[in-house]
Amino acid sequence: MTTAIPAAGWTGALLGLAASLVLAVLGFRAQRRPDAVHHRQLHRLVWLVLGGAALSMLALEVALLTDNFALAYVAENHTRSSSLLFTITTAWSGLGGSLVLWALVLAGYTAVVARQVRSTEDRLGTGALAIMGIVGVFFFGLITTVANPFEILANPPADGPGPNPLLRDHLLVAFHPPMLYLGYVGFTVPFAFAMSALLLRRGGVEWLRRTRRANLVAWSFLSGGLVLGAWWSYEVLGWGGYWAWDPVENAALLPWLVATAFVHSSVVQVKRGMLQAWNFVLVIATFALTIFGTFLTRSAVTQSVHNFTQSGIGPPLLGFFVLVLGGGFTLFALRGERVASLSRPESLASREGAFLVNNLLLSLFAFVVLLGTTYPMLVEAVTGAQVSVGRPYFDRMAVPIAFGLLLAMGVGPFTPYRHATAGVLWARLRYPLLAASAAAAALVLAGVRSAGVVTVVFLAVAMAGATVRQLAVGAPGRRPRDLLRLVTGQRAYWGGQLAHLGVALVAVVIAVSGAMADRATVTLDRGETTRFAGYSVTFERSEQHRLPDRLVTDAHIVYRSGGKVVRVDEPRLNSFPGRPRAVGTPSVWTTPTRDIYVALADLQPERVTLNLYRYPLMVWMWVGGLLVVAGGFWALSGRIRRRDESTVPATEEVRSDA
Amino acid sequence: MSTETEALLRPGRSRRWRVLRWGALAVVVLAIGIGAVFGARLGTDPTLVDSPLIGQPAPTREVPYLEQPGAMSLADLRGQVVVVNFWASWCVPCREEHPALVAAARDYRSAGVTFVGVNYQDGRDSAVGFLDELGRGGPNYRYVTDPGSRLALDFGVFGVPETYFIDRQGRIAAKITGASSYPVLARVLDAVLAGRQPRSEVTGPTQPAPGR
Amino acid sequence: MRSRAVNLGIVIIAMALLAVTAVGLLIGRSGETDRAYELQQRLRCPVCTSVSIAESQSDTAVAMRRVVEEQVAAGRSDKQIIEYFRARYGDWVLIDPPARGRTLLVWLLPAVVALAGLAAVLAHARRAPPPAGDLSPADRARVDAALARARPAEEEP
Repeated sequence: MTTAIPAAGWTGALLGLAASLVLAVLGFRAQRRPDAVHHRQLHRLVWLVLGGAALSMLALEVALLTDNFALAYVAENHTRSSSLLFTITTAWSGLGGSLVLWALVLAGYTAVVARQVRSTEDRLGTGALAIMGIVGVFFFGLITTVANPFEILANPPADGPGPNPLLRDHLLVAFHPPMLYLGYVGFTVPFAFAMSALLLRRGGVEWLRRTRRANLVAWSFLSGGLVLGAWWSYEVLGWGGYWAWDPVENAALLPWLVATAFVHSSVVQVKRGMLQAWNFVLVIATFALTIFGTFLTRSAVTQSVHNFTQSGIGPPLLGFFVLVLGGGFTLFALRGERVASLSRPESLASREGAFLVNNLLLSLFAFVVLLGTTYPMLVEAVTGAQVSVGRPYFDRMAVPIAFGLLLAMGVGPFTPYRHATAGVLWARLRYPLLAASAAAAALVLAGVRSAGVVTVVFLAVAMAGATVRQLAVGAPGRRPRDLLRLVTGQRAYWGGQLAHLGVALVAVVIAVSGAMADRATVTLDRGETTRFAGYSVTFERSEQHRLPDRLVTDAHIVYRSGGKVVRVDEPRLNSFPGRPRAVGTPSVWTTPTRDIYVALADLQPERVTLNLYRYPLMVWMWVGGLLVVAGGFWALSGRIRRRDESTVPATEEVRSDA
Repeated sequence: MSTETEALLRPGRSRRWRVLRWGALAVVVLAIGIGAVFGARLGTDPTLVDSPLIGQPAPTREVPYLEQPGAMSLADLRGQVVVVNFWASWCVPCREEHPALVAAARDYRSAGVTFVGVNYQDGRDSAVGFLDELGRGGPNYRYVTDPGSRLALDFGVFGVPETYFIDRQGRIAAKITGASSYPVLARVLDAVLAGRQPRSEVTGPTQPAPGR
Repeated sequence: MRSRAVNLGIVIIAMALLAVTAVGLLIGRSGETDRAYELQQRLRCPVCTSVSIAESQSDTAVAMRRVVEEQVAAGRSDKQIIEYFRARYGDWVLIDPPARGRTLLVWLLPAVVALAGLAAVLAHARRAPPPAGDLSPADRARVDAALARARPAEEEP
């Protein structure tokens, strides 16, 4: 009985491996000779891949839920006392299980692509399926060899240590990793279609049109994953921040930056036929960076917040990264000439010019992040010396680039295609500029002295103003219904604008919460009171609570205003049996205008040391992130373009966008 | 696009394409290079950092004894070979290396070697409990505490255990990162006593912070 | 005529507001900076993962923060304080890589790439546009139709 479940999981992984392999072979065969293969064969194979991955995942969950410690993965990552939710999430808290989730998501995307392939005459589609088969072979290969979660222990332990304590403390663990994976893995689809197009020597916009949805889905999920990751870092790690420029964060940010560039430049190609070669570069780079990011975070070559322990997974991931980058660009060098476009923008002062600037800035941003992340490793490999590159470097580099991006966001979407005159731009931006100037002056008069905050607010208000003006001018009437008609009519454009507003909001919060934060470290004896952020803060008492899986020691911190108790926060320390380190959990008091964040630095029964932070407007960062994701999905929700329509020259609206 | 314009644009285009192609091939080469660099880094532990203090004079900050009143400074031991070991009761590898340190202190006492065990970010009671449980070194083994981690900062300590060797001139001669073992201690001590320059060793991971 | 007056008005008001902003920012600059905090942000915490000692709650970071504060109070210069830690922990401790020596390239390369990218974009846009009139009559008709549909939304009210 104890071996039936692991055997099922192992069978699923092998099934996935075999079916992926055959899918790759038959897919390429179908691409070369469409008559030789029937598309139903490909469909069946894709179902087998999906079934195999689902079986593996199911077996892993069942093993976890039934406390089957004969499985090495369960023994290493699970404990009997773990609650139901964290037992389920344990399936992706460890290395092997996270790869099973990866394979499952990949199989899901492959199935969606297969649904589009209605006949083997669709050579672009069959080639893409073949490429996805190769990627599947790689990941199922990892699961069945170096990162096998289904290994059976001869002498199963009675209980295990449970997952990393940081991964069993917050609900976000259930959402952040799957979202990130839906994003990361989704970029396989554009990559597969791009490779297929290069193999066919077929340029044009077909591969872009067919991958637009998958690309936007992946981008939206990755955006959501990044925001949730930052939120998790803020709510769980307890160091008082949300983004540390840690290698693992950079690894997720890198593909997002390049994919964002691609989301924009693909519009230019679809609308104006430009940047074809560049789009291939971006797609290959995005996919390669997802692999590279996985390598950085899973192979322990770097010090990072959540490294998985040493394993044999580093070399294969590195090899696959070199294969993707090397293979992709070799193919591009050999075949790209046919697909490179001729047209160029007539003037930089145009929508396509703004897109070019946006692409330049995003690529530069990605380069800076990549350089900063890998530089210490490169220096040590070459000279043996150890150096660090951290937050001060990234902040100093990111700020000017972010200003440039905000500026491009404020101007670009309101600039006509082909050629923009100063008059048109002035007409569209004069009132927004006026509003922005007023906002900047108001901030300064209100006592804000941070140039960064004022600049960001100026740019964000100008952008928001221009969007509102565009909405007012574009709508057929003034009633809400008319506005709704406008934004549902051009979902791509207005989805983009919504995402831009979200980014602007996030930028404002980053600037404000950074420049206008209050920090204090205080040591309080029991009953002692201090003042922070306008409240009197008292350490009332400390209590211990024994929970099934942990021992919680909390400190009751009471906030009083005018003698009245307004809030009691309970930051705590969690000690887990079998884990040497206790994990602190901060407590956050959120209101729309500010967060008060309290974390334990030291806790004794009669004395506590607290780190107190006050961050203005913090909650709006998560709202802004939500807007970005909502924008992505709004842009997606437009009608599905029929396949046969794509062969007819484009007749859709000229202004729809993104 | 008419064929004429295409013909007109052709030369410029293929020149541009050649640039693109070389660019693409450069990326391929770069990818292989990066792969090689990272491949070479794969086996190494990123948490280990070299000490720049080798060859520098040892810190002389005065630190209180753990189990008796009074304080000592490494300057008092000038002229002797000194082994400074940073340890803590919460540190797992420290447990492993403890017998080796005690044995080395006993065997090298006649050679005039003094051991100093610096208790790092620990409670006094748990530290004494650790020694009660695992045993203490002889008279040439002194246990001290380090309030505020000052001495640890002077030595550039990243985690425990870390072991430093100070020669008769009062300079830091070598460092062991991670749990030391008797053979490693003996090898380094023999070299320092003979006036040779020993090699610093990395024997395993250190534990950076206490589990409270 | 009226629209010109409106434009002029907008320019004058916006300029005035921006002038207020600029003056406010310039005279407000005098505020004293927290030297110790700035230095703490530039030193890497030895027992943490990729954060500075300003951001860490570990005992070691607390001890290092205290050393920085004492040395600032003792009147030592930024350079001396940074050097104090560098002598003990090596270049590794500088989380803000200095723009010289081994970490010079990390500052230079982005500038080089930015310039190269800018040059590429300019070169890409500068070339003569393809001759006009390359549209077939059918294409032209389609463009006109699309424009006609898009126009109402595009024009000023």
